[in-house]
Amino acid sequence: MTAIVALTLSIVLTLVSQLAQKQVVDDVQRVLAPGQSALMLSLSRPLFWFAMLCLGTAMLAWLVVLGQFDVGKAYPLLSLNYVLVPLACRVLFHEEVPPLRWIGIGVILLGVIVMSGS
Amino acid sequence: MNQRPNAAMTQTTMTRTMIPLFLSIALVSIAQLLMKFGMLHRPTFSSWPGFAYLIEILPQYSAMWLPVLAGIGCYGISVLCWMKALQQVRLSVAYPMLSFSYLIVQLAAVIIPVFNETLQPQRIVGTALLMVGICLCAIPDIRAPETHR
Repeated sequence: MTAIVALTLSIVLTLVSQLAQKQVVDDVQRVLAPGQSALMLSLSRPLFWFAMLCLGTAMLAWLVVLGQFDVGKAYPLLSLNYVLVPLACRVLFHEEVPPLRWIGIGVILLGVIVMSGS
Repeated sequence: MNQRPNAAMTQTTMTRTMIPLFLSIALVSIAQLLMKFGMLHRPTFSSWPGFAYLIEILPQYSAMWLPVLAGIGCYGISVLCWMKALQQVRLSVAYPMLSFSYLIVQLAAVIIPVFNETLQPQRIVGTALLMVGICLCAIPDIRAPETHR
C-alpha cells in the first residue's frame, strides 16, 4: 500500500517537475541577454526551484519504492510518464506529436506491461 | 515556427544537442544504481526506532547513505544537462529517450553481482519492445523538422 502511494507520488511529481523545467528553459530563452549565462538565469527562477522541490520529493518517494521492489522491476513502472509527458506537452506547450511517435510511445508502454508481468 | 536547417547545420546541432542529452541519461542511470545500492544496505527495524537512535547509528551505515547521496548528486548534475538539452530538443521528443536509461539499469542490475537480479525472458522481450518504441520516437517528423525549435 505504502509502495503504491509512493509510486503514484513519484510519477505525478516527476511529470510536474519535467513540465516546470521545460517552462523555465522556455522563459530563460525568451529573456536571455547576449553574454548572459543561461544556467545562472535558470537558477534565479523560482519555478526552477519548484521543479527541484518536486523532483526531490519524487526522489524520496522513489527511495521508498526501491526499498520494496527490484530496481529492474520498479523502474519501468515510471514509464507511465512516457505517455503523460508528451500528452501534457501537446496540451500545454502545443508541441506537435506525430502519429509515428504515438505508436513508438505505445510500443514503449507495451514493453513496460510485458516487463512488469515478469 | 520551424525552418528546415541545412544539412551541415543539422549535423552540428545534432552533436551539440545529443551530448547533454546522453550525458543526462547516463547520469540518471548511475544515480538509480547508486541509490539502489545504498538501499540494499539499509537497516531494517520491526518498529520505528526514533530519530535519535537513527542519528546515533548513522556512522555505521555509510554504505547506505554515501551511495544515496552520490546518487542524488548525479541526479542534480543530470538535471542541468537535461535543461541544456531541452534548449534544443522538444520535451515530447527528449522524454521518451530517457528510457535508454532503463536498458542501462537493467543490464547493470544483471551484470553487477551486488544487485543479484536475474534476466528473465519476459524482461528481455520487454526491453526489446522498449528499444523499438524509442527508435520509433526518435524518427523525426518529416512534416516539421524539430531538432531546431
